[in-house]
Amino acid sequence: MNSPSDLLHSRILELLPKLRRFARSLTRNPHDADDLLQGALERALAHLEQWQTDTRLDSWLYTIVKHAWIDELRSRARRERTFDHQGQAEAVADHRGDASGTLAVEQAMACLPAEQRLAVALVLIEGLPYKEAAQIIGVPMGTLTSRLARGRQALQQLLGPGESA
Amino acid sequence: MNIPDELLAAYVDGELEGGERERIEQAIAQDAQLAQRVAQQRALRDRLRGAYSGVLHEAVPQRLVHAVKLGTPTGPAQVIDLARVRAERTRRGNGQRQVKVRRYSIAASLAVGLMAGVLIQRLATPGAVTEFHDGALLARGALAQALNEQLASSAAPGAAVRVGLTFRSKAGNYCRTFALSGGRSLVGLACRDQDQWQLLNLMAAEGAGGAGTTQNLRMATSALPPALLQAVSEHISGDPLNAAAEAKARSTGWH
Repeated sequence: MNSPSDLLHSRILELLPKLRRFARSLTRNPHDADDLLQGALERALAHLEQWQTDTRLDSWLYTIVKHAWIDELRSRARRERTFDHQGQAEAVADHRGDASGTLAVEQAMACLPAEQRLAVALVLIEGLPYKEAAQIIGVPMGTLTSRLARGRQALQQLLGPGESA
Repeated sequence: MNIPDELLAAYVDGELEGGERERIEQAIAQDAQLAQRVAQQRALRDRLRGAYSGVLHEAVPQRLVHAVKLGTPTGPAQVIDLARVRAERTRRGNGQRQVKVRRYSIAASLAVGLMAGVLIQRLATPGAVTEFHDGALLARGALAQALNEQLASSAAPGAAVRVGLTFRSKAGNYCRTFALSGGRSLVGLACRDQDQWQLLNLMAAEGAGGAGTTQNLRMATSALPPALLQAVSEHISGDPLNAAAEAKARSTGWH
């Protein structure tokens, strides 16, 4: 039986690679990224009725991943009041053997404040229009563009001007 | 020509429309420094996309696929205890609600085992078969109709709902097990309460063969998930109804 909900499931399945990319651009560790996405998918599937059929399904799912990530950041912030800075030493060590520059990009992304990282991830990596990205983050367009500008500037500084991959 | 970074970024991001875009393109053609800034922006964008493109070609982990298909990891039917949820609702609700909800939350350990996703999704579809009402999950639509009208022996081939066992509970009301077919098979137990069918259990049918395992529920109770069998044995008083008793109960409106 091919119900509309089966169709919706297949559409979500098709979006999984992009959603994984988005989650990975937010959290450096691939395993954490998949955990984040799994939690977000469980939320999404439990609230499928909240998706408005005249809006983009990918944007709705990005929004749920974003919420899950922000929740995770908050609870991590609470934990890290007691355990701090272990991750940073590991992050530097990760750099060895990074021939493609991928890890450098990942580390640079991880240095951005959450709000800039979100803007960069949605527009520069996911390639969404400003309007969609602003809606997902829940801010006016002007706020999105200034976060994006600051994120870009920081990344240029961290990665070096004009350097290509 | 002095073009602010944000405008240049909007150009690189493909956000500018006809006239504005042409204006920037003309400016770039005449200004090497501007062209250099655009190239840097493009390089950054390409570098970011390149760094994260690998994941697009990786095999998606099964746990994520399962999260979409089932709303929960695979394995034995997952039973989540809704009694606590209902108790919480009741605590916050008014007194009138408490009376009604208490009937089952004490008499029966209400465990609605399910993938919440599948259920909520059914709730959202036009053919919704359940509805939360005053803290109770009630049968609606095709499910309510089948529970009211279907005899275990009379389900049409391919029916969306198949009723299995019918019995009287220890409280004296009628209860019926059922199976829902669809993207994912669900089985459950519903009991008559104030002229409605209240769902006491709902869980994923084990195994892939939804139709095969549910067709002969009356006889093949061994095909029911253990959690549902346990629920039946907790509630049942005496033996399941035979076909004649089942038809008679239907004719009296399950009173």
